[in-house]
Amino acid sequence: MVEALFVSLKLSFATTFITLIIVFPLALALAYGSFKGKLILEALLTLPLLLPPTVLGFYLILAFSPNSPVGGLLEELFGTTPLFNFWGLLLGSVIYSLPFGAFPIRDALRSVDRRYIYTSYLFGYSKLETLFRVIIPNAKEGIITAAALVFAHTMGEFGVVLMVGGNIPGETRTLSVYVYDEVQALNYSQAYRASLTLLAVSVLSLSLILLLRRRVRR
Amino acid sequence: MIEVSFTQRYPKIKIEVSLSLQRGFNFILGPSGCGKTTVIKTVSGLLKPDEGLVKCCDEVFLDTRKDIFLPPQRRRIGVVFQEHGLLPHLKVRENLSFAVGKVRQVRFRPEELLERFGLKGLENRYPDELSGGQKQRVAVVMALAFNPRALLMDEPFSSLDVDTKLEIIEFLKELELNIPVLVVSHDPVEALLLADRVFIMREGRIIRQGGKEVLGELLDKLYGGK
Repeated sequence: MVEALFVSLKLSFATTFITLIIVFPLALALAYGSFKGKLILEALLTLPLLLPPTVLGFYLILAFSPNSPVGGLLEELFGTTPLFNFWGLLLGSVIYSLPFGAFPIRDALRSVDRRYIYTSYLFGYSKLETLFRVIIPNAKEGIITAAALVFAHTMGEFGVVLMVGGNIPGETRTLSVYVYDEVQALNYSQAYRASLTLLAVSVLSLSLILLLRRRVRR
Repeated sequence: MIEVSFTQRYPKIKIEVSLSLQRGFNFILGPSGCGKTTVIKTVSGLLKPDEGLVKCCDEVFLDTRKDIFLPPQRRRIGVVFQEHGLLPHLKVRENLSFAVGKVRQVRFRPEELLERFGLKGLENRYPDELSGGQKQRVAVVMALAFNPRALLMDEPFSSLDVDTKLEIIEFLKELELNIPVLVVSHDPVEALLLADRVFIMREGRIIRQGGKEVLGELLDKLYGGK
């Protein structure tokens, strides 16, 4: 169980970090940009919310199988494809987490009062300086919310994880998959302990994040 | 001196303004929606109008014919918004440091301005710990500390009580600013107290301009004089 907990935590932290890096520029473009394809980008980012996780996982398997162009290229370049290993797990989790990261950040950026941005420009600060000195500090609550959502969501993720990662102990078996295995084996006491651990870790991480959000509210 | 001449078309109104802002207090008076704020945005560079020319002394801020547009960062124009514009995540002291962060030469030291505007002792407060009047005074101090080439104020006194309004007007008079100050307002009494020149604006156009005598007609209408 400890092994599965470790995989879940590793996956959640890595997914949160990578997702935030990917979605921030996208959220920025959605919040302030006006460009062709904005609606399509929004629709694409919403897609993981609508698709059943198993369907998304299935498409990822198709996309990264060694017989597909992308999978074939990856195998040629790196000698492996992101399927049934931790990298596949991470990739699937990041894709599945995109809307949970992008939309709260987009909304937080949008809610920053225009006057603050104007004030910054008028005092001579460039767009980039304004982003770091005015926009991000005033949108940090939304950014933390996005991080909390991605983290909590990944901790409990099951469908995509099982499809793309499989069930390899110590490598791709997360705590939620472990619970599933134990229930299948009618080993309810182990399933109970693992579920309680998952619940405790989720509540603890969320409490920490909410505490952090309260502290940065200023 | 700032020379402004521009046209900006909105779905419901076409704003066509031509005026020159001299040193001293210039007031634009007019009802809501007549295009007063558009003048401020055009002069400060927050808006690029459809057509126009904005010149500050010899420097061209905007010339749509030659495709010249100087962004607000390069104009050094101080603006005080209707509902202040203090950065909520910074204390008063930090807001002031932010305002002077890009300034090479200051005419008024921020500490001196804080004292003059009765804000001493509030340096470590956040904007949401200040009253409306205090916030507006800090906004004025920030704009002045920035050593602007012109100061533009968008309905700066509209949310303030009479005492605070008079207090800020007195402070501004005492400072002897040697730059054009443009105050956009709908209250002729404010103009009576502070204005050197007045522009009356209606439906996107300046319909009258001149000294305080221009206000006579307006005040007569408001207060029933002859």
